[in-house]
Amino acid sequence: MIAPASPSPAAKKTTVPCVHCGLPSPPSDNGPAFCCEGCRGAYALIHEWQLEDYYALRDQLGGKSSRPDSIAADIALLDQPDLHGDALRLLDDGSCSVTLAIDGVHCGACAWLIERAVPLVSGWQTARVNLPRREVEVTFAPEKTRLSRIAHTLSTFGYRLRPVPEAEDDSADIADRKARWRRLAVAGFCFANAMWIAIALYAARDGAIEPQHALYLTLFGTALAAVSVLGPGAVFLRSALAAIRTRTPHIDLPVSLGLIAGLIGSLVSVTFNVGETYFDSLCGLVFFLLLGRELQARGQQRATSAVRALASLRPPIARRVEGNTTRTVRVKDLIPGDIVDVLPGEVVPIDGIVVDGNSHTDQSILTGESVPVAVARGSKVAAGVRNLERSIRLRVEATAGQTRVAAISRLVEESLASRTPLVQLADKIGGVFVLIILAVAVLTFAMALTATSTLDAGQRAVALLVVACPCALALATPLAIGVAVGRAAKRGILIRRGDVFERLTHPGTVWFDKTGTLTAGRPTLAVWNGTDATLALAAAVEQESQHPVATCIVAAARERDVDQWMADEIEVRRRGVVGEVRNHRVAVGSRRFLDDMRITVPPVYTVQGESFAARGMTPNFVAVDGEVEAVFAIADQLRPDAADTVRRFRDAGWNVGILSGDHRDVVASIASQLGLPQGHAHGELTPEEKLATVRDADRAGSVVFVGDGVNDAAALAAADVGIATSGAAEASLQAASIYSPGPLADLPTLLSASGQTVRGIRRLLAVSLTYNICAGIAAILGVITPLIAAVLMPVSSLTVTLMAFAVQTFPRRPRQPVRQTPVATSISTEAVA
Amino acid sequence: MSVLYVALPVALLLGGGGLICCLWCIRRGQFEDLETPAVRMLLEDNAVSPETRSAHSAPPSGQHEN
Repeated sequence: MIAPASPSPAAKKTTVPCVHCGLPSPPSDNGPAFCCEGCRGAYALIHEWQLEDYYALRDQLGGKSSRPDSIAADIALLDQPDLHGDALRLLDDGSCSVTLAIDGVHCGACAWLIERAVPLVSGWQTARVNLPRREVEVTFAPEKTRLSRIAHTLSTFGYRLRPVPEAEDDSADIADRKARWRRLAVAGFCFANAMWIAIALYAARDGAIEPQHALYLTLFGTALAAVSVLGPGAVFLRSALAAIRTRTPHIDLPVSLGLIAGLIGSLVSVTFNVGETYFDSLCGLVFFLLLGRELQARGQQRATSAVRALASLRPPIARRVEGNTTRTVRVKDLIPGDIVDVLPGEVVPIDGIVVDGNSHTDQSILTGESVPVAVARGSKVAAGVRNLERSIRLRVEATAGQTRVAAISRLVEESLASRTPLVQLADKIGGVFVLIILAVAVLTFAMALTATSTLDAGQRAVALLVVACPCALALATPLAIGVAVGRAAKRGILIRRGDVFERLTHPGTVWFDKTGTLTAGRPTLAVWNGTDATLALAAAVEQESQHPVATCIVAAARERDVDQWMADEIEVRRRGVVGEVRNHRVAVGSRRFLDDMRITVPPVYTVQGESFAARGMTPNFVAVDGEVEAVFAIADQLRPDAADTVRRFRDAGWNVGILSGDHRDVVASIASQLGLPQGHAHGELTPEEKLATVRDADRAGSVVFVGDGVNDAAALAAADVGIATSGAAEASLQAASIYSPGPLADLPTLLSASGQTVRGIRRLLAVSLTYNICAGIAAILGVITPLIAAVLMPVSSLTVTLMAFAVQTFPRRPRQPVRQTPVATSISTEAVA
Repeated sequence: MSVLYVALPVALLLGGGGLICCLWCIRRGQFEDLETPAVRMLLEDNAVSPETRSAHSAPPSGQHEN
């Protein structure tokens, strides 16, 4: 389905997937091919210990393995008991038990492997993996081995152990979940027992049971109903009370009324031996309603767990400076004002301000760009950023829970809980519905009184109250949205707001950013028009820069094996770099850069540059001692699915355009390659101009912007639907509604999924409306008794809920034999999915 | 006196016993992770011990300890 990403010229020789992790690796003449020593080691170890079943199990379960990548420093730190806090326990027999977070576990095969690997380290007693939480509980004998040894062994397989990240917000969820299950268990018990008692009583209608036995059975049945309604069912009664108190109608209101009326009716019947008893219906009602709510809660939970997994990428430990020493502590124990050291190569653990030291930081995990950012005294650094050159000392500015990661997780959770416009509308309609039902019930009772007995009139009203169910509105719509969001999350697409589905079904304008969105974001030196000597000079000046252009030049110079020279006084500026090499003043940069430096570009080079641009490549120049000596072209391949994606958007009725800061002609060339008509591609835009274009777009349909999570944050936020395709999840979701780091082809899938979801919701509404009208009329006319009503209502509730799940969105991604992640170059962005 | 008068409460008590066990399991968190145990019982126990190490491939140098 997806063609492999076009290889750079160097990688044109065939590659085979690594036997262990699946990444491309050079073919091997004897035996299996591996991409690195780590995978080779893992494979050997697995075979040596006769754990080869791992591979079969993994393939069967459709999982994948990670590349082993042990980071020795972090492993040694695991031995410090302070690090683990409550997660470390001393057991009665003297062994230690510690719960750790584990990276690299993708499926059951990994869990199997880890638990089977215990004998590899003597002193290691047990391992118990918890897949959904990505944790493992390890017990070991502290006198025989250390935790770091266990961690080291696991790292050779490709699993990284870390102390458990902050989990304090889980306890409320867990308590909620347990309460829900307890209620469901009790309701289930009551329902099941009420049913078998009721079956016996159905026989009583023919007079086959002696009255005293029938009474006995009925007593117990009614008792069960009372337990069910007043126990697990109390949750509905409480919410109905709250609704009355706040005067906002809620669907729990008619449900509660029906339950109470039914219970009272049953008690009256039993006491005075008159009329019907409804204990089986009552129990059934409570049970199915609780079941519906449980399914709904599950659907929402799936989406949030995907985001939580992302949040666990932050380091859980930090070096706190205390007096003259540093102590390693858990990040969650840091408070604002603490001083923390971050060594080169480490990830900054918490938001802070630099108080000492200067260095460069790699903010790619936050911004998606690996151009290092200089930090010095007074600079702010955020958690997750990697420190590159020298140690820095920070003053902590936020607590662990306040970091942007934590904020992002909360954002997504809140959005799932929040009411999208459709849901708000549904609530309003539901409220009106409830009032109507109550009114009609009262009317029915009054009118029926004139026609039949009080009992019969009462029955009709109760039947109506029980049978009327705006569940499609209150339950199923958010459920359908929740299910779609959860399915998207499984695909790797994070959706922050449920209303994106509705918006994506109104085609309007979609603006794509160019670099990194439509293109692969991996530029290469395509054409070098100059001498090798000039290339050497350019490479010397670009040695230290992390800019994509610099990396291309340095790589090309290495490939061509030109002389390696040293440069002095290198100045890295926004559009170029300048320095001294072998007594020459060398400048490398774009046309504008040279203009700023007042270096004229002779026409022969200008023409070349323009021809590059016309072919979709960015031209840059090299000037030595004020004279232009070379022009070169940097090409960034279009993503293989870019053209197809654009076409599918256009087929769906969207106006597609490109907004980019790159050279105008380059952008125009890309646009024509993608089949866009003239005038739809704008180049050389500043971020402000991009924002203005998005903001001022015609609002007849939805306005969508697709770009980088942080660089294009403003435009993403201004659009109706902002889709971030690169940049780290946390930062991207601040501005964008959707984070989709996978292939571009996911976007048209998102479009069709939105259509399916919205259509599905409409179907649900239609079905529910039909049901309510028919059943309501039947109840009013006395055709259905409360018994039948009580059966119908949960059945309809369940049907609608099941229909919500049956909406076919996001078909599973077809399994790829080779992982399509681009082989990491120093300028690629690591997509987090 | 019909057997019903005894049988019914007994049946409910038995069922109630099951319910109490269920509630106890919920309280102890046994339902938290439903995925891993299902996978854990997939393959039989291959008892792995130092003696069963095969001479299949040489261990990578210093990669694990025993």
